[in-house]
Amino acid sequence: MSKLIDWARKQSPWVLHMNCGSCNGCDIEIVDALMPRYDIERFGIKQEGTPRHADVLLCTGPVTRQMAPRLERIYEQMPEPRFVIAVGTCACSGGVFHDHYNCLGGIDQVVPVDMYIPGCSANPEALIDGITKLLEGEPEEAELGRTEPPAAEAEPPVEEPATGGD
Amino acid sequence: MDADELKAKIEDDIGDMIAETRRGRPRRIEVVLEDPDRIVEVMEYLTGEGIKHLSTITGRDDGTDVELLYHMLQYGEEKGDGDLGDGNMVTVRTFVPKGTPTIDSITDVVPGAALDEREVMDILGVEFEGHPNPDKLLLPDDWGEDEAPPLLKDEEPDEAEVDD
Amino acid sequence: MSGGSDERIPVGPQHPSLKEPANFMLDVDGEEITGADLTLSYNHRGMEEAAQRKDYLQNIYLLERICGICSHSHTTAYVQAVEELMDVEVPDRAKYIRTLIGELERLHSHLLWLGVGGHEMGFDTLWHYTWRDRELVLDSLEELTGNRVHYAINTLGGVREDVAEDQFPELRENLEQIRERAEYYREVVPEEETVLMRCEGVGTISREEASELCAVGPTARASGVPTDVRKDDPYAAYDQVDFDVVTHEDGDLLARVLVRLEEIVQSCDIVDQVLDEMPEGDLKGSPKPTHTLPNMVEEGEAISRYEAPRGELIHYIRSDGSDTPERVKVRAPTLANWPTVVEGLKGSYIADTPMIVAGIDPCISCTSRIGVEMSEDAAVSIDGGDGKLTLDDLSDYAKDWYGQEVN
Repeated sequence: MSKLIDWARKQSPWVLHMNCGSCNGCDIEIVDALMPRYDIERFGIKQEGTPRHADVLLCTGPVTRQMAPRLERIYEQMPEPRFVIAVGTCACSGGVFHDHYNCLGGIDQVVPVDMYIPGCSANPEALIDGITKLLEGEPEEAELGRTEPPAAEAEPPVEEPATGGD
Repeated sequence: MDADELKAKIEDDIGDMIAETRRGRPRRIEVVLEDPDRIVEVMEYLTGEGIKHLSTITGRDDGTDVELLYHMLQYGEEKGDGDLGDGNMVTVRTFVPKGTPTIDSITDVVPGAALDEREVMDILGVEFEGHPNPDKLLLPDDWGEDEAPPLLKDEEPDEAEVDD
Repeated sequence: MSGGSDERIPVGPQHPSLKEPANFMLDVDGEEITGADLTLSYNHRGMEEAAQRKDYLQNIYLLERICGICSHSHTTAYVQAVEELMDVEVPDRAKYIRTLIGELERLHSHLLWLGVGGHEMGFDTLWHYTWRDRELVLDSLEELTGNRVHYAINTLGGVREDVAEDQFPELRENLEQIRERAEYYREVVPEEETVLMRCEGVGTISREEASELCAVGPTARASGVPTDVRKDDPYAAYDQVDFDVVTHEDGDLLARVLVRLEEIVQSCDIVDQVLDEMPEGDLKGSPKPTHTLPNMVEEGEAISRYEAPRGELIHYIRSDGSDTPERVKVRAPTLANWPTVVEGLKGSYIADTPMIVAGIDPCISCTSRIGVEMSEDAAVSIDGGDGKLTLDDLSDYAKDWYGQEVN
């Protein structure tokens, strides 16, 4: 029965979009994907407002210190099976912000990530491609792609800000 | 009134308060304020002359002091010659010692300064006395008491730099 | 702050330990807001600190990513300041290309806002129309620069890419369509019942208030403040083209809609002029290899101002003569406009909160994370009165309150 539910879910994923400190570039492209030209709603992909009903969490941004606890909390509220997609280069690796004192360096520093969609910004085509590939895979295969966050630390690591001139 | 005329007028009117005025490229005037305690007076003068728009406050650690730059703009329309365009930018430069980085808030005179002052508080540790709402603007609440403001350099610039 | 009113509604964090980027504290009397406070905590990424560790060339690509909607604004403001310190003359063709991309950026940004604003006020048709129009602008940007977002056209001393005459016809066609649509919206939108209901007389800021609060951009101009950096501190090719500073007297949300609509038409006109008069010539002011240019920066400081779609953008650079800046300071326009939101809330209805916030065209990422909390004893009950809300919940409440359909 659960396999049927899984299949039904796969055909009509409900996505929750979360911005974790992004410049907005990827976020606008995500919203763009819902708009008439790309219209991902015709594939059954529906944007959802609360984590409790979402299958897929679309995250953008390098994860700022302020956003990290909130990202964790949202992820915890999502029922299984749940999938996380890192959208955009910043979400994948921190991007240009990877060494900033207030940024953690990517979504996978906080929650497990199932699919990485790079790009600056990731455009709607790449997004559709990534979501479809993720959901075409069997749940077990998607599991294999997971990257676990670093071993739990009490506080996210904070880099010392660089001091003075060279 | 063009920038040269405005500079001359400022020198005439408040010459006793300022150390120096400079002209840069077109539409840029700089005023150096020796005594930071007079910042509110200077702001009252400038806003009275139609130089009312604060673009932002830039803070900078120059080693011994925190340098504060108040970037003020006179809209073209306010210049009095009927022309809409071509405003004048007046930057007021002053310094507060890093040991006691305190200066009066200008929010009574320029209400729009509230957020700019809070930003400088966060990143350079300057205290703006009389600010109506001195909460953290940029930094997370859990930015510790012992974590230095991000743009403040070493505490003792005279000592040899420690290699990282 | 208290105002002798019945109750306070903290529009605040979802959870005490998770502070949202913006928290409003509203004093209310029934449905009316009698007082408002704002606590703002930006999603800080440490840009300025990082900019001190990268050279002048790398910083173009870093600062571009301050904002994905107005990235060209940031790079242009930045390189202009560096160019002052390099004492290099930017060729005219490069200035015109910067102007071209800058106005295309204004177009996409304003169309984006019209869609977002339309969605917020329950006018989803406008959202779908304007975002479809916006695709034409993105197509043109991609055609000219290679990317829909983060066009990276600027380099130190000029631009990286040329534009070709044979790209112009399609660009003009797209512009013509956009101009037609904008003129249509300009006619139809102010007559729309939904727009009038949600925007007319809402969130009004007087000219004096806008001026004292140092508001910028369309927000300030909608209150009659005649400021536009392209006029009061011209840069790129703006002293070569004809256009008007668009102002409006009413200072309400409707005025802000109308100002942006008119600016779309103006931008189309500016682009037409730029294409007509595009001068021949070099793209770069210095023949030296690009990667050596950071070494040409002299000691000194520069202040650069730019009229981004949301208003005045200011970049300050202090150089010590090395290839890495000593200090980079950026003040983006949205920061200047938050105080007008607080003023605009006073005297408005609770249900007007989301639209008044939207009116300054803030970064979407900021507004998507604004938290709302209702105190238990508030007479107005939203979401069962359990006190845990988002601005989206207030949006739904607003549509319900105004008798509109909730999506």
